[in-house]
Amino acid sequence: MAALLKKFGGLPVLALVVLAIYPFAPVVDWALEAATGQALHIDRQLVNIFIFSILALALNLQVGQAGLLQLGIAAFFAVGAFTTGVLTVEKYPFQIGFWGAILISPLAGAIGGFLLGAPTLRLRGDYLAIVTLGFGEVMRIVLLNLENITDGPRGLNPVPAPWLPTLVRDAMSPAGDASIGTLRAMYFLALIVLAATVVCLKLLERSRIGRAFVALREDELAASCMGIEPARIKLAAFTGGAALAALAGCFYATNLTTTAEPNTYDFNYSIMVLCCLIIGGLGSIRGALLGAALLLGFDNVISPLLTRLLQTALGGESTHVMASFSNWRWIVFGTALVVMMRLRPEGLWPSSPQAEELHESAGEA
Amino acid sequence: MAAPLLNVDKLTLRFGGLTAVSEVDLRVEEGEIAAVIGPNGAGKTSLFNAITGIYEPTSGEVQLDGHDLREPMRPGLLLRWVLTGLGVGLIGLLTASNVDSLWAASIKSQDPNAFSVARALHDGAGFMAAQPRVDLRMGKLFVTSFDGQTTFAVVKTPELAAAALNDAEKRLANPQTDDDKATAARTSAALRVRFGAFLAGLLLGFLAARAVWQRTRRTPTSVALRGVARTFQNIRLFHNMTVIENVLVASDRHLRAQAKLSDPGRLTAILAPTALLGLTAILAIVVRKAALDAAEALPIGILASLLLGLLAWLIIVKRRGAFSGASLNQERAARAEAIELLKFVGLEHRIRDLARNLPYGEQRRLEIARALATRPRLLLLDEPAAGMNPSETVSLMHLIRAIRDRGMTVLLIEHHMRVVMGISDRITVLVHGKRIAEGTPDEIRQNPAVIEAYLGADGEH
Repeated sequence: MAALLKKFGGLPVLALVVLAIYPFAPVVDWALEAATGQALHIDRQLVNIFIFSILALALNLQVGQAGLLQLGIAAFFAVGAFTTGVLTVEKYPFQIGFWGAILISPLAGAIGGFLLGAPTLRLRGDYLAIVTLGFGEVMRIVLLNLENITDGPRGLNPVPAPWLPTLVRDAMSPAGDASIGTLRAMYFLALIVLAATVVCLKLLERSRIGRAFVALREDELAASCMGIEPARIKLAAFTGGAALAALAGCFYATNLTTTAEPNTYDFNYSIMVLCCLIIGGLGSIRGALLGAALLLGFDNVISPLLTRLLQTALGGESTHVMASFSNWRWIVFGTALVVMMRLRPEGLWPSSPQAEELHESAGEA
Repeated sequence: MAAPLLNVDKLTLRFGGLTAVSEVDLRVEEGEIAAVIGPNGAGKTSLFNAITGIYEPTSGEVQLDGHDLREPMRPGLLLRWVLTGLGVGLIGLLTASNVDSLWAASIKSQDPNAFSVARALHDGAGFMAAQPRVDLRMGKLFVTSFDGQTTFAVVKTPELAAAALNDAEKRLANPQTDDDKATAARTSAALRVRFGAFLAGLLLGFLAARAVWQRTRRTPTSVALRGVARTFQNIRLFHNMTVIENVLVASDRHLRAQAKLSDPGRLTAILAPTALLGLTAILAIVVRKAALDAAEALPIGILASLLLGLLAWLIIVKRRGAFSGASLNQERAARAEAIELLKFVGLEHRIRDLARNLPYGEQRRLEIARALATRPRLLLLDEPAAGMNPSETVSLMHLIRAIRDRGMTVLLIEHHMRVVMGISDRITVLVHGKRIAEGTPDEIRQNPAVIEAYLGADGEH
């Protein structure tokens, strides 16, 4: 069985196949519905998880692979979402639709990343973290205040669903139900883009740029004495990560059909993405995916489920703050981080050299 | 006489009040093995750091092959600084004139279903110039001053608005009433602020770009790229990379240099995204619900394609593939070269091991292999024999001679007198940051100043 699995590309391909079939046969949904009597729509949550995974991978490129401590990834996510909003909503004349936005929002993110990165990437670790943290907050407040452009706290909506050829749209929508068709379209689009992102990042990891990332993380001085330009490589990673985050933002806005209010993209959001990486394993692509799935899975699947159980146990509609599990999220994330740091600092599913590295140093200490 | 390969001229390096290196001259001829010796703290490693761009010398020059190691001034740099300045200036201008209102004046003022790019540009330019503008509010057209504080007229049709706008401009050009005078004063004040912000941004961007360039004229990277490689006294390998990866990191520069425009893949890399984005731009504009003027859609699409093409060209061609992956063939060639180098230093059995799992002597050899992978003309070795046992030391001496025989010039710092005296063609002696002697090993051995300062007490170190 293991050999068979290996022959066809191993775990990633299996996961891809399962995820590709899932919307048509949501077995987990059925099982949960039978058990609890309530529909959960895991496929809907999976779209969120895919989008969040792209964002986590973007941050992983910057923090994990290039070693740039970035605490304001939500700003670039917001740039992508609002670029998509401005370019697609009916109140503005551009209306280039999802397909135009998906090309232009990463460009906007890249420009933003370049403008922030070019003057600041020469700063050392902690200072860069402060700059990005500040940028994240500034971006949120700017978006709130540019009321003529972003509609301030209301956000831009409705962001239209992606245009699809009629043939594809019909194939996606059972019995002509357009909303399910749109959901599935988003599901597959996000899945495809996520898979492509993973492939590209894997290739990057093995390329000479990937090697330069590792070398710079290990010893910047030695790397620069070997002809690697730290500023340029870091700028490339920062710009690339920002573009990828904006791409995720484009999907996010399209999936929500609104850019959401700027306050959504706050410091907490950036930290939550960072949590994903730390839980999954900083610098590890598979770890980032696992972390995103766990965090969003907890937020959107487990916690509503637990809330329902809790409500049933309490006998009816309790309105107490503690009776809703989503109010526990920061406690749970915080505890998880502390426990992780203590027991498994390399993350749940790190890339192999990093695991060795951390265990070695633990052994030496 | 040809210029020496490395010419260090009166190099001084000061840290605050401490002079680490004081007016040191050092010449290394092509193809020789030269050594720098001296007691601990004599400034040998500081000298190396100054040569390789880690420290900026307080005074003095370092020349490789008769050329200063600092990046020369090019006219292209001036253009870059000016462009940076213009970019920062534009940001200053937009901030000073309020992007939000600019958007409202140029884009929001029009019906999105009958949008004209030309009008948006015209209105935007008018707003930037702080001219009166027309606002659509609750179905009526308000002709107001640039900041909306003075309302000149409220009309119903665009024709009347245009006439009122004309009238308002005339009134402001020649203000009669107090109200008009105040508005005109506000207008000129706003223009001054905008112009000032633009100028300040321009200056700031220009100076900052220039300062960054000046501070990075000589960096470890630029020195390495000009053909000076080095090893470190305290081994600085990439410990968590494998042995071959350590070497491959250093051969990066050749992959980059080989990636030229002639590569057909590169042309595709430019044309494909350009065509794709341009087509999308045209399609998106044509098929969108509220169609633009067809006459406007096409030029915009073409302009977008051209701009993106320019961008792709700048990134891909000008950078000669710095950001694009090397082809598989190049990667294969680099690997073959790395394996050859590892064989040369005797580490072929360690290729897949992590660097930190190597014993000390082999780590030193790996550092040498990594430095060689940059294909240097001059190799600086900082105490290569430190911590080696006698047999390792002997094979190190063979290795250094073999490196010289491959056509490279070697400059080393060493405390092991057997190594220094055994392989060096010329020796320079530093004491307290000053050069006290220079000559062949025999001359140095017999130099009374050296004997007194360094070898004096017990002969061999």
